[in-house]
Amino acid sequence: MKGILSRAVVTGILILAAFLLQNNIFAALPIIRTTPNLLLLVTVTFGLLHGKLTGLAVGFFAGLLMDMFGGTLLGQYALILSVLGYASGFFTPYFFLEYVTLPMGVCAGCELIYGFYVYVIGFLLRGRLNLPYYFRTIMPQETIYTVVLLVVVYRFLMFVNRKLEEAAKRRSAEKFD
Amino acid sequence: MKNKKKLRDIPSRHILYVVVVLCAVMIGATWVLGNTNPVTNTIARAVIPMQTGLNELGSSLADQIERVRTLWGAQEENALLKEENAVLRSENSRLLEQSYELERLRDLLGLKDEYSQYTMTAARVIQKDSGNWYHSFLIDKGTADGLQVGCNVLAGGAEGGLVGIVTSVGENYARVRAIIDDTSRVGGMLLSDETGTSCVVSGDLELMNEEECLRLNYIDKDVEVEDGMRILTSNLSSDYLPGILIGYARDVAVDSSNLQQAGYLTPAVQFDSLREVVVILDLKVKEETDGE
Repeated sequence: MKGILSRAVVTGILILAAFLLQNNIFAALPIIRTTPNLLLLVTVTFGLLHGKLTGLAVGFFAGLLMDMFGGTLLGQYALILSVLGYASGFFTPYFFLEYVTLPMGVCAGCELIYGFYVYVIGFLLRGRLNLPYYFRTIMPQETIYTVVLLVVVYRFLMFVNRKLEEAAKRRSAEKFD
Repeated sequence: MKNKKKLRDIPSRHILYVVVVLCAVMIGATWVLGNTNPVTNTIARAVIPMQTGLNELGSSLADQIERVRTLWGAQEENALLKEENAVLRSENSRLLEQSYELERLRDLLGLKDEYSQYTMTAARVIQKDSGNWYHSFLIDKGTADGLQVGCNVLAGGAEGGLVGIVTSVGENYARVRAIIDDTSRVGGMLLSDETGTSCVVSGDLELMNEEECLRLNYIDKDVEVEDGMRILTSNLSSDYLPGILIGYARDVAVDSSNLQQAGYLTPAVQFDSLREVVVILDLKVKEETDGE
């Protein structure tokens, strides 16, 4: 029980960090016209790593944070992100940190669904019918930025993972000296 | 004992359904009640100071990048600026003449310089909107400083003008929807003739991304609109105080309906580099809010 609790706290801090990084650092830089969707990245990663329910929970809280400080209605981002987190949990059995193509594909897919969702509830319902424009510009831009960031993050995770494994090996080797 | 199930025995899709229904309920509730509640306020008390601090980091980072970038093109820019300077000098003398006329027209419309008749407070922009679909941001003042939903937000200084309107407010923060947001509509008028011909300025994401301008609609067919004509907020607008500069008209022509004119508006405010804003605490419709 204690393990779950501490994991939840660490995950919560990670969500908050992603939120702040996205809205305060990335959004402040004028050279980046498009901001990557970090919260979606975190949600998909947790879904892939720990399965449907964790993806669902992370997506829900990440979305809720976006709703509170960025949405018009409480729950609209929580809804889409929790569904996407749950959906990425279906790919958990096929997920290995070394093969980055699967998370890239899942992330790109989720990003496109997310973009389409935002378009439908925020734009289509107000009579903005020029879907090809949004499909050609904003959605692919955001998707590309997020996927590129995902590759960077995964390289970093793999690096940390390898170092940890090496350290563990060294420790076990020393034991037998 | 048979009926007592553990959490992990519940099929995960049932939990998904519960969460989806919960979200739907929240959307419904905020649709009716608005997006400010005690829970958000409590979390804001912890999160907003973090945002304020981090935003300074982000801004200084942006400043550094900007400094390097400007150094790169400095020489080229210098030559361009010299040319521009000559043009501006001649233009300046012409504009000085026009400014007298402007003053007279302003008096005619009952507007005052610098909107000095309102009580105002300055605020810092602490968060740009998450994602690329909307143009709204958070500022670091809230109900504690007298802000309320519907307050008009301006940018001060030489490039002063209308920035947007407060759409939701917490104790120590407020959300501002910029006029360049896709959902924004502002009632405006032309500062050209004595009648103050009305028009509507509406944000458009596609236009903003492609050409950095807004839409200008519903202008009377018989009025002649020159490029660069100033557009102010109208007396008729229900949310915006009258006489605030919105921007400058451009390419106005009779639209497809053949009944009205339409064109584009270049905003007076540089939204990319917006750091500080001024909030007018007076509301347009005072009687209604007091009467509640």
